[in-house]
Amino acid sequence: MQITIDEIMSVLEHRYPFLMIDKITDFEYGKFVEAVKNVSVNEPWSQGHFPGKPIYPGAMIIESAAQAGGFIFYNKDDEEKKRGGMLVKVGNFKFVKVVRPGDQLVIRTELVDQIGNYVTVRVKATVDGKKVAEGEETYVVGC
Amino acid sequence: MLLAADYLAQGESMVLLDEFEIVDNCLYSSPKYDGISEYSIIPISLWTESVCQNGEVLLRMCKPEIKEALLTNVSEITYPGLSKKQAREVSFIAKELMQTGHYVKTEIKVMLGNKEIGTSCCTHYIS
Repeated sequence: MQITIDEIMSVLEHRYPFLMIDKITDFEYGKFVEAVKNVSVNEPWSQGHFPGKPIYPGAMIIESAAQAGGFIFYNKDDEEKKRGGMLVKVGNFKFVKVVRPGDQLVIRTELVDQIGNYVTVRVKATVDGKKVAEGEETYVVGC
Repeated sequence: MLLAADYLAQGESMVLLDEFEIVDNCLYSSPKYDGISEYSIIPISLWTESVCQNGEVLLRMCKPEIKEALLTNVSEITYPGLSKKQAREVSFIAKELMQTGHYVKTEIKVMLGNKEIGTSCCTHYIS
């Protein structure tokens, strides 16, 4: 199942320049979310990170993953689950390769743990099939 | 007090620390979130970047010979979802934990007023 940018924007309150996923390409409720972010030089961060040598900041990868992972318990037909999850914590996140303009970042988040309303997902971000970052994020869902 | 912008490699639009000072090898700083409206929530990206820039400033102050410092790892980032107005009370205390070869790990205490709201770590690859 895919989720288009229109539906993403109906769930997330983020807007330019902080809307950092373009499409959810695959999704299974309560199991995983896979999203893409097309990294462009025509974005504000590229001016400052770093001048003359744009690198998509690791913190922005975390943001992209956070926005994608929030959809893991998203259900547009259920009023309580229409808003997605709210990020509360970023676990151990490793950045293994730089991401540059022109790259398509593919972010896969998978459920690893749930205690009450707290949900932890494992994140793996790739470009051209090669891992660029991985880590964990924790959300509160259904609030 | 010194300006973080004078020490970070980032351009002005991505500098998220304001003034800082170093006392006994610890860095004391406060964040700045230009371009965010007063009652908007600080996004996790800017929050994380501001925490991690403490590590880079500390490195550049204590190891002035380094040219590049690339972020390779972050952990235990507690995200309180503060508005820019609330974030005016945020300050950071950073200290170097260890260096293994080219990798330097920094611990950053996040304070809201006098209360500690989290302790994060970041690792930079320096060259």
